[in-house]
Amino acid sequence: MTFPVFASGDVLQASDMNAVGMWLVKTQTIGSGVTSVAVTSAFSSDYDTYKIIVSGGVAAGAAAVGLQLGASTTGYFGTLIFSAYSSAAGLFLTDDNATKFTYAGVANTGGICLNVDLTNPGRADRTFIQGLYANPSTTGEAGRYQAFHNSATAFTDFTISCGQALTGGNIKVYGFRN
Amino acid sequence: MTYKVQIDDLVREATPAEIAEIEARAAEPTVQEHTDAIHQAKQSARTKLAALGLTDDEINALLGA
Repeated sequence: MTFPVFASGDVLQASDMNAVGMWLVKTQTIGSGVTSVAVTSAFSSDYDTYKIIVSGGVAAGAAAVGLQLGASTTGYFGTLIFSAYSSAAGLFLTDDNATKFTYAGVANTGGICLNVDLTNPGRADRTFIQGLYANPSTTGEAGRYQAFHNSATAFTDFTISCGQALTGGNIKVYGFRN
Repeated sequence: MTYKVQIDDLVREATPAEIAEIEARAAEPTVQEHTDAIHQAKQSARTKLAALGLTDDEINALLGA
C-alpha cells in the first residue's frame, strides 16, 4: 500500500492508519436562532492540538464570535490585529483577562467565519489559539487573532457565542494526531 | 425577548442569568464600531496636527497612513 493514496480493497495497515494526521472528532449542527452553542466531549488527552471550523450558517447581524473553554469565564488574553477593508491602517483590539476568546471569529448576515487552531485544550496546560477573522461584509474588516487562556486546565467542552443569533451551519472539531 | 441557547443537539430557552449575559454581549460595541471610532479619532487628530503645521508626511508617520 502506498500511503497516503489507497486503492480499493487495500488492507488498512496500522502503520498507515497511525500516520493519518487529522481525525474528525465531532460534528455539531447549529440550530436556528441560537446565541450560543456548547459542544461537549470535544477535547481529550487523545490529541494535543485541535482545529475547529464552522462551515455554512449566518448571523442575524454583525458581531464577533467568542469561544469559551469549559465553564471558564476568566483568564483569556489575546490580540486581534486587523484592518478595515476600506483602509490600509493597522488596528488592534485586545482581550485582557477577558471572559472568553472574544475575537475567535466573526459572523454576519453573509456567513459565519470561525476557523481556529487550539493547542492544549485537553491537557492540563495553558491553551493557545490562533484564528482567522474575516468579516463577510464589504464594509467590514479582516485580521488574525492570537490568544491564550491563563490556566493550566484540561477541558472537554467549549462554547461558541455571538452577540447576534446564529442559524445553521456545522461546527467540525478535528484533532491532530500526537 | 426570548433567546435560545444550544447544548449539543438540545436547543432551549435561555435562563434569566443567561439572558443577562446575552444582552450584555449584544450591547458590546462591534469590531466595526470600534474601527469607526478609531478612524474618527484619527481624522480628528489629523485635522488638529495639520493646524499645528505638520506636513502630511509627518502626520502619516505619527498616525500611520
